[in-house]
Amino acid sequence: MAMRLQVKENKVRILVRCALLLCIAMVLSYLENILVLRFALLPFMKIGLANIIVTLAFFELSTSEAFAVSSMRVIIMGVLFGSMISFFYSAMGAFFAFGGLFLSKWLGKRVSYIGTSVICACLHNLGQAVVAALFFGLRVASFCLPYLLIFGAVFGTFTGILLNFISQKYKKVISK
Amino acid sequence: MISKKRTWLDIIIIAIALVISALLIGLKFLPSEGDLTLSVISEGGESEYSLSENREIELMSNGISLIIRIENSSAYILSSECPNGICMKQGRAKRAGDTVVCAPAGVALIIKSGGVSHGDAVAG
Repeated sequence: MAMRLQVKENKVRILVRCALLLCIAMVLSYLENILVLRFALLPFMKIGLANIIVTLAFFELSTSEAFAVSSMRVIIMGVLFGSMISFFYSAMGAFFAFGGLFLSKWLGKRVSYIGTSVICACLHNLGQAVVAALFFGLRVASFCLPYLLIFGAVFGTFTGILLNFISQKYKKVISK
Repeated sequence: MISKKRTWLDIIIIAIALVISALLIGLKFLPSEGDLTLSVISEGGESEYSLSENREIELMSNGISLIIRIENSSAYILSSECPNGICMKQGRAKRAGDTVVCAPAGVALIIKSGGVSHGDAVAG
């Protein structure tokens, strides 16, 4: 009986933790949406702040929690603020970025959060370029891709530095 | 688990991303041959226009109305009813390979080299 209660408590704990992370990721996504509307030079160009939460969840918690947060964020933000095409951009980007997380996990200690963020940001943008290629053709995608890669490298480094800093404090707060 | 401190591989990864993007951008600036044309891809298909003649093109795509202007051998989106208006900030497309995209409307302006293919040309 006590063991069943313990298991149930753990499930509730994971659920609440995912919900909390999802809320933070959505707030960051919303902030990004405001920024992209005001300052973006290319469609759907974003800083990638919400990916900080997914990356932290992936390395500090578990793959399934990171996947749950990432996929729910894409779906909810798509329903609330996006159009059909922006949903496809986000979904493909998130899918590719998740692949980047596995690549970083495979690289292990050879790479830090900075390298991980740059890999994920570049792969995220590559995923968006794939969607652009499907909707507008290869020519449009090949135009956007180099600029998206530059933004990926720059903003990926920025979020990676943030991640290196946050990860020191994060585990103490969330894992309790 | 990954390293908590910056590593050499981080810097190599950043450098690789920047080098690839620089190479891809460099390819765009290679000189192109022949007359430049504007290809407009929208919901209604693809149309081509000569860049040598100044004109305005009005079109409706995905329920969004746009005006494209061709001026001084360059093309840009003059006005768009799309929600964010990013397409109007993308500037002018003038070299072969340059592209301006309005994602909500599903419209792309692409500069091509080699003249208008008259079979696809749209007047007016």
